[in-house]
Amino acid sequence: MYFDNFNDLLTMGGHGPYVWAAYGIGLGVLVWNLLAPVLQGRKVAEGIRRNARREHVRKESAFQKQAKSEGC
Amino acid sequence: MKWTFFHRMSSPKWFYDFSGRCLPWVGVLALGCVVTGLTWGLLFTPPDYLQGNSYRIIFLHVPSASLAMSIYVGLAVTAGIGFIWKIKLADMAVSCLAPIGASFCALALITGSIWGKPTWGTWWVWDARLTSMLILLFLYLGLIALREAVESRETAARACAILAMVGVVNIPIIKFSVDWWNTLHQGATIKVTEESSMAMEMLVPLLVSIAGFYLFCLFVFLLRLRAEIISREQRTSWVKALLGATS
Repeated sequence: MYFDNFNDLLTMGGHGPYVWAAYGIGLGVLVWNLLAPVLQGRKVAEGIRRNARREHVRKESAFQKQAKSEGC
Repeated sequence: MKWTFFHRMSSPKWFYDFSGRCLPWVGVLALGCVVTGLTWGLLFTPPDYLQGNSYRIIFLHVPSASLAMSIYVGLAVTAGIGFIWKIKLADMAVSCLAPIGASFCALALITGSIWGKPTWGTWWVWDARLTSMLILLFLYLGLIALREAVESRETAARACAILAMVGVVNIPIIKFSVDWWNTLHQGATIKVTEESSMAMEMLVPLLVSIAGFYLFCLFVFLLRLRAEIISREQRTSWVKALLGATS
């Protein structure tokens, strides 16, 4: 490692706040780019499954209604 | 030439399956290069003789600025292909590339600004490079906003494709701004045709970092595109079967 100790690494000869702020924001952008599609994918998949369940319930109730009316 | 390959590639289902197989490899390579490049640049390179340690921002700034421009070119070409041949997958790709490009463009501007303070003594100047880069960010934001504003998907796709293609004129302006005008921003550090004006021990980690950022971008682009494919193809039987959502 170029720096002698942890304190040198933090301060970087007075440039520490600039460098660390830039790297912190950079890490934030990378993490956002990773999380956004994962969360979006989950939301979409959940929506599709919910619709499918709703459709299934609707079909079931229509089928039962028809069966009842045929039984009468 | 066999055009069937292109037709197969533009099928959302084929692309979903294919990208699923590539994803782990791209992810591992991206992670390896980004971590290596940034750690190397941050901890193991000597400081610059003139700028001291503030130059370490270069390992973030150059890859993100380069990506912001490359993504825009890729986006414009994809938009053109989608516009001419009416390929659905191309429009999906355009909609996924815009937010990624915007995020890296913003990162390039922010890291540049932070680097500017200790180096130039100011956070911002209205010089050609910085201003044209800011316009690139506005183009990205414009593409995102335009898509949200237009209700019909087909009209949105065409409008975004036209904006993307017109906006590409800004790319050579950014690239050559440091040569055409007197800017505070320095000229290109990495040159393809001649020797780079950077010491090897700084250049190698920078190149690793650039490779890592490009791979990372490919990785998150594939993730986004796969989510977008699922969203737009949700009425098809293959998506329903994939998600176990057959009613």
